[in-house]
Amino acid sequence: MSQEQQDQPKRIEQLSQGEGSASNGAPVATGENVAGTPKKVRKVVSEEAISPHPSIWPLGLALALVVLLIGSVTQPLILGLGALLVAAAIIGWGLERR
Amino acid sequence: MATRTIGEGAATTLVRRRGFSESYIGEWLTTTDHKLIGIMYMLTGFFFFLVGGMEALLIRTQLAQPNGQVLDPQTYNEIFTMHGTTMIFLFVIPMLTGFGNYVVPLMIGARDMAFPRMNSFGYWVLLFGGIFLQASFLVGQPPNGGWFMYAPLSEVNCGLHAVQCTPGMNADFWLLGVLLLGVSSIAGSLNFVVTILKLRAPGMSINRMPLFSWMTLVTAFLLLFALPSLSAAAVLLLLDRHVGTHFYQYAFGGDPLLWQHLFWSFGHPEVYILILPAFGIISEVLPVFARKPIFGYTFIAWSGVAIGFLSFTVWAHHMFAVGLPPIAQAFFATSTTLIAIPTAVKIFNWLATIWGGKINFKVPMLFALGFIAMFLIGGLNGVALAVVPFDYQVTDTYFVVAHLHYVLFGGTAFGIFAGIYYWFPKFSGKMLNERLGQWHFWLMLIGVNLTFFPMHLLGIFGMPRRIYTYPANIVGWSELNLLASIGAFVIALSILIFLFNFVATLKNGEAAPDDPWDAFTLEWDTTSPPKKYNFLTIPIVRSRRPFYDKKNPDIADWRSVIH
Repeated sequence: MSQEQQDQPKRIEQLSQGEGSASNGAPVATGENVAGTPKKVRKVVSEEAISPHPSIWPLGLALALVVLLIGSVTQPLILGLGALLVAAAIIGWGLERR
Repeated sequence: MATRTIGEGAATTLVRRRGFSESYIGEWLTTTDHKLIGIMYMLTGFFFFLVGGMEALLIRTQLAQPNGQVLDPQTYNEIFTMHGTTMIFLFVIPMLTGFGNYVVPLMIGARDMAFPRMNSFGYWVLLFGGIFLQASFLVGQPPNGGWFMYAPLSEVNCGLHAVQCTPGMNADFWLLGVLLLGVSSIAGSLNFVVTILKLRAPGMSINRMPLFSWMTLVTAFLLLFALPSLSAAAVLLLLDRHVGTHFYQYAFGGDPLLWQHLFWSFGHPEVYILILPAFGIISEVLPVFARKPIFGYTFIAWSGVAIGFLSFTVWAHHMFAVGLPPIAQAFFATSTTLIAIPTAVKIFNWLATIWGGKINFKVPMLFALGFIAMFLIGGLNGVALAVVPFDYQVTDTYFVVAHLHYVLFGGTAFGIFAGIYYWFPKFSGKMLNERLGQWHFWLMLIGVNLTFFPMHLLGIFGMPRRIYTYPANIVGWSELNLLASIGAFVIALSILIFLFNFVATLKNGEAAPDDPWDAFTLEWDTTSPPKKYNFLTIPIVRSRRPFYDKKNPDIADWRSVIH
């Protein structure tokens, strides 16, 4: 085993034991590659920055889809309403700030 | 932005008004966090399990004695249709998707699913699809054509003389319901594929991926390729029913067998969609409680892929009795027998995993061992059904009911409970009561065998499935049916014990440590329950047991094993 190979596990252990965590406990986005060689880029980021934002539009679109499908076998009026709701939900979803 | 910390974020929260998404209800309605969505999937799935279970009890009460009067024939049709539909589409799939949602990102070292909002959308469509299906009871027109809704019986009118078949909305509820559930499954599957292929932690090659993630990946591909067939079949039947086409009507140039081909080319992969994630759960539980690495990781992983491929070649074994040409029967009998090979490879590897291990008989392990035994019975009688002359004899009898319940209840449901007991500490931060868990396991094991084993004999004695009652003068039927019904109530008792355990644990349960089982995979390298961002630092993976390596650096797998 080469010296470089021997060194790699040690560095990985240190990293996985929290060497890279911020002093205030914030999550850290590390940039290690598959071979285990740390890149130089390392960022401390907020929970909000790395967590997906909440959104009501998935629920809205699902509800609209149900109305659309019920309308397809019952009343054209409900079908039209469902289509409008689906369109509105897709637009709302698309325009939402992420 | 990139350098903001949690502390700064908290300070900001103090001076602004709370949004809807930060209220208790708003958080659940708008969440895109894979863990909350996973919990919602599981709770929804378990609720529908109770609904489907009560339907099963109604069926068994009706059949407990000859000439039963508990249900009339029409209601009996509705109840067995909704029992099958609910258990398959609204219990097993949501439960397994819930496990996948919660556990897979943690296992592979990701912070969330690839498409969080699509993940949320998949859940809500499932919930509304489930409510829509069950709402059919409220309007008095629940589906009544069996869980496979065979055409042309599910058409509005049949034949040249327009005999009424299913004129009400019964079949429409089912068709629209499965279309909605299909949308949900497609959304979920796409998410799993992209998440598993693109968001694995550094160093987690495909050959180091936990086996539950492997099986979830295979299942997601199966759903993506199998569901279009069901959706197409459903749309064609809806067109027949509402637009006047005749895709499934022989008298007008259509083909009733087209429905069966389309349905079962979804329906048989579906069986593996329901069992493969359970295989994955068992492959996670056994090594931890046997204190050994999994035996034959590569074989277990790739036999799952083989099962996935073969599952698309066996559908017509459900149709031997319709009069397929001999060459087709030979082909489908062979492919059905072939699929037993990769399945047996898994069972061999599981047994080899526990062989010589320091087995810890905690409840997750009991359910995993129960799974192997029950699934083995279901697998063996499945091979028997692949033999065409035997299938002719028992087709559409209770032998088939016994087979599918040993696979899906003795198999999948045991796997699900193994997963619940195993991961519950991670989900909730509480330990389920061990003694109550043992009662739950043993009663369920006894109940399953008491209910479903006699059905083999009933099938061989000629009792057709889906009959709502039977006369008293047929030798053996009354006694075996009574035994099966007693077994069903024993299962119900075991589930009540589980529910009590669940509620009591959430209320006053013992706090769970982060790693109560001394486990091997990354989900245990987080707090119980995990923080929203999962990992403070994305872990680096050097072997198939990354958390074991972290806890045992001197004897880490990567020091001695190359994979």
